[in-house]
Amino acid sequence: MIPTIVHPGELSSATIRSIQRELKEAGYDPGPVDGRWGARTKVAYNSFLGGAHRRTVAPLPGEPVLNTTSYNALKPEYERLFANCKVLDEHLSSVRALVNRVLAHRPRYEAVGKPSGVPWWIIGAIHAMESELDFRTHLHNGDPLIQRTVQVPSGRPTEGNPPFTWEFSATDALKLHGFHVWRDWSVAGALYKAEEYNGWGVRRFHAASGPTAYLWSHTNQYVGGKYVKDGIWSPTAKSQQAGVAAMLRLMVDRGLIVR
Amino acid sequence: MDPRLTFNRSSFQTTGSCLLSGLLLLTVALMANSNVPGPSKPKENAENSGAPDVSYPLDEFLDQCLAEPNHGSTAGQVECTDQARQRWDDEMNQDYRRLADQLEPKTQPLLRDSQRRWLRYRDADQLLIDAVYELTQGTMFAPMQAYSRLRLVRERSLMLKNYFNVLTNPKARKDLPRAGKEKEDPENTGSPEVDYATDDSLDHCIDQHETPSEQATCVEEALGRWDGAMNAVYQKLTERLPARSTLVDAQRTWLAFRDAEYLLIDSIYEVLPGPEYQPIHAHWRLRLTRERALLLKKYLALAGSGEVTN
Repeated sequence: MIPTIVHPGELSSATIRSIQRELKEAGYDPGPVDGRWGARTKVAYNSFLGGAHRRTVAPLPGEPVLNTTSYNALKPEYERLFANCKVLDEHLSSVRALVNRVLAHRPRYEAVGKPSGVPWWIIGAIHAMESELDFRTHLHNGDPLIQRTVQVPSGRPTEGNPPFTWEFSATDALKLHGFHVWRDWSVAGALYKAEEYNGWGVRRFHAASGPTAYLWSHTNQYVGGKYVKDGIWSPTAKSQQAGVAAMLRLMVDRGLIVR
Repeated sequence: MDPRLTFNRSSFQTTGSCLLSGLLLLTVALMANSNVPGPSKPKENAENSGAPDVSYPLDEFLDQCLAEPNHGSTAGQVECTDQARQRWDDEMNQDYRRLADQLEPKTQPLLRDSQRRWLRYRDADQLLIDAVYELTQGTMFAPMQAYSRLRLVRERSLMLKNYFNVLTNPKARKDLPRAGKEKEDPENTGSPEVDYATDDSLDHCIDQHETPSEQATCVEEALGRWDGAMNAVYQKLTERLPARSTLVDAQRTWLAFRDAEYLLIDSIYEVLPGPEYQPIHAHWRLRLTRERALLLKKYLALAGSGEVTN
């Protein structure tokens, strides 16, 4: 996916080549795919932002969050929201630091994800959401690895014996949520799987509150709303935790996510 | 035995009720408790005391813990809730001992018996909670599951406090709880059988009547409505929950607890001076059934919170 915000000086040549290839596929002419952010690439990129890209992904004013769990129905919503997603300035440094911490563990996420084709970055983002990157906990829900999960989903992993390794348990969690058979690992596809991981309750019951905290907290797309406790929804409470999209936004901008 | 239990109230029907939201109950309990050494002092008193070891209300502890940035994850929220539950558990044990010391010798065995039955009910209901949450999908439910366990202990602690406060604080009997405004999520009720109109109508009824006897009758009527609501929700839940036997077991243990608690309540009431205690006596009964109806309502909503099909 072509990032909507780039800092060319920070992009690797491989990332630039990827963008150039995508620009070509989209019908623009970035010149040769040489990994250099030259004049033609810059013009093609700017044309892309101002052209078909904007027409297809710009948000509609006041567009509601859809109350559905169909990926086909939701994909355009994720694309639109992410295309215009920006990490809020007051959270930028903390989200950067979080992304750096995820990046530091990239080999472990790759080791778990590669066999089934799950990108390391979405595993890292979910790990942050569930346990703040604590490798002593289940990826399922942050319960300790010293026993099977207690909270829902409970009794996981069903195989093996505690204490579990993080990798063993994480593999089980990804399978439980069907990550191993999911094939659309675009950002939109990843956001869909992340929301599903957290559950559709917010969308189902509180679509009027707008984009969910699990995905969009700390970005300009999140206006508020969260469960405070005991299933009580507060439309004004704000999550203190960076959402998945906030992390992916910075990862995309840094060229860490290449389709 | 027919698993479709019925919940006809026993012969103890002079009154019975409680309409508060849990938050308001806590506030009332704490206000009544302001001169008594023990757990959960109100914050203003704690601040004025200047003591370094004062304990603030545990709801506030939980709120503060959940609001900390490093507790934003699923694991962080569950950790906060489990910590709060442990503290409520400690507090409940203190409440129990404090109340036991205050009771007459003949009433103490009733408290022991009721508490034992409550422990059995708690264990059975935790199994029910797990069965209900198994029907949910997504990690957003994990902190709620932890809170459901906390809620059982918190409510028991508040009940024990309330008995103690009424026994020891002459002002407490006049503080008949009123309907709380912090009601549960109306979008997520899951059962039209339970609504809070009963609370509002009880408030209205009490406002219209002045004598304790009349007010107790108001509470008794409200208890009847909550009893009906609880039965209706229970029946729906039996139809929706695959682990039906877990539900039946939990409800049976609750009924056993309730009956034992009625004996305790009546025994406490016997030593209270004057008819002005009739409404609060009725409230204790209503509170048991109301809380049970609300819990079952929540379980029913959760049992229907699985993945939305298109």
